[in-house]
Amino acid sequence: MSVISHFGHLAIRDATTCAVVLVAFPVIRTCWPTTRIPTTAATRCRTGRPAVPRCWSRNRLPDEERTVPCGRSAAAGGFVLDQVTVTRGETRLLDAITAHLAAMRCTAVVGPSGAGKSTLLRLLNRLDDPSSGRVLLDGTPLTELDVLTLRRRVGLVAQRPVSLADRVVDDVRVGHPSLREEGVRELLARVGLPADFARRPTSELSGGEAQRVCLARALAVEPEVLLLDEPTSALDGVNATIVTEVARAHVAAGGTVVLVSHDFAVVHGVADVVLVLDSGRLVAQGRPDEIEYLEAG
Amino acid sequence: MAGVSVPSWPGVAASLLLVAVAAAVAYRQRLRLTRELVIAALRAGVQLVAVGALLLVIFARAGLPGAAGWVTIMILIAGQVAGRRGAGLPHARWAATVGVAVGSVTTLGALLALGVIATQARIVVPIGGMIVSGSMQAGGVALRRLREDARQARPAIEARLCLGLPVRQAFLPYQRSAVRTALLPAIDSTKVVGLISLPGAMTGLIVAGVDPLTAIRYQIVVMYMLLAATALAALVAARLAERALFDHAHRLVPLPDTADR
Repeated sequence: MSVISHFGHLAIRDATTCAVVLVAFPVIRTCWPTTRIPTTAATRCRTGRPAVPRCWSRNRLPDEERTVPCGRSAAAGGFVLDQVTVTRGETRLLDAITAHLAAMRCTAVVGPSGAGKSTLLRLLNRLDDPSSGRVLLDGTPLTELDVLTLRRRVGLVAQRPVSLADRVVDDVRVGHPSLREEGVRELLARVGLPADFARRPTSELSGGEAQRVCLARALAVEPEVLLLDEPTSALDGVNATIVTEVARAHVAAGGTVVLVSHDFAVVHGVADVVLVLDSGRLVAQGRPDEIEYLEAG
Repeated sequence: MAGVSVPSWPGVAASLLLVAVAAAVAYRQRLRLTRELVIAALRAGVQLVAVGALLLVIFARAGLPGAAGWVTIMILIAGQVAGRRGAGLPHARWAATVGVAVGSVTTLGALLALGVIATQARIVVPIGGMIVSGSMQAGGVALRRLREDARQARPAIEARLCLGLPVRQAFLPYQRSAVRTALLPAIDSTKVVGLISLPGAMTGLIVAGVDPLTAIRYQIVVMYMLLAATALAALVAARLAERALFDHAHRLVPLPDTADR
């Protein structure tokens, strides 16, 4: 136990310590499964938002480490899919997927329609559970995490934009009701919408505008992980670039992005790693320039 | 009530002529309803004769416990009927039955406890019938609305859940809309009572020879009690349906595509 306390005291000092903690906790958990880890600061390093920028600032990492998809720091966090299968009736939507979606990276999931891309995204915030296999976030099975906290950490922007309030300002605030209008305007600016959009009725938004309001609504909750399902499907080139910038900025700030997209320009522009799904199977993974599927597209 | 004017049995039989008029219209217009119309008329006659005989026995011999039993049976039947309106929702009949039961028992209990109505079988059964009927309609409407929303608004409900909102908050707009839809008919009929229609209880008393100013006292109580019964039945049925619609991980369960009934 003294070893555990030792880690606890050191936890918040600096990024190096944090990395040690991130390696040590899985070891402790494995050896002493019933151990209660006493340091809140250390736990925050592993799971919580406040510690993320300090421990995980991507800019502090050497370049070679940033570009290695499964580098040491990335290996310590993010999602792990362990033999994940999803069946609906007779159909296998996902078939024994094993993959690592690293923290502080943008992972793009590509593949033909019906390949299981959206199903995979829905597993990551527990809108669905796998029929077999496990999904882990930072080493902890999602089923052991409080689902409401998980969903605030892992924001999903669905493919079809849905308005949840009559005015844009109220729509953006649904997940964060205390957000001031000024904050809403800032979020709108981040997704490339002018400030006066806040007062607009949501019924008057075009498809592309509604899509970006949905992205702003997800950002309002300040999630660690952004799950984006075809975020540029209703956007032209310029506005698609804005969404790419949002994803890039999120990763630069220490967050994680998982992107499903048919837009290969977006994938090339923002993804660190690409997973290719076909008929529910993971058929390829690697850096965007290594993926034949993207070239063929 | 010696002066009550009630149709004789020959008079009842003569009123069958009116059914014949309706059947003739249906037949001539080829509405394909003649058979159903005649069966409905005969069925109503047989049901009412049976119910009349049963109530006679209850009033004469079973007293208040018999009345309570009768009201219980009405609640169970009403729960099944209202539950069918929400067919496709998980545990819809259970939600409807509990909703109707809570609405009816609470309202009837309050009327009895406050001494507004007499604790006699001949009072409890018809008043209970009105309350159960109102609760049934409200519960059915609420469940039907919830089912439609749970199907059509799945993307919006899931968008709320994705923001980390718990089920209660994510589903609140639809819950409200369902209870509101269920309550509106009761509120509307309360608004226009006496202006557009002379309702059953008041009509019955006037026909039985009670003076109108006395008859309206009963009707006022009836309207007020129906408001309470419908509100409670709709709310409880909607809440229970909500619990069955979501699982422990705050997810909307898949709904089968059942035909609208």
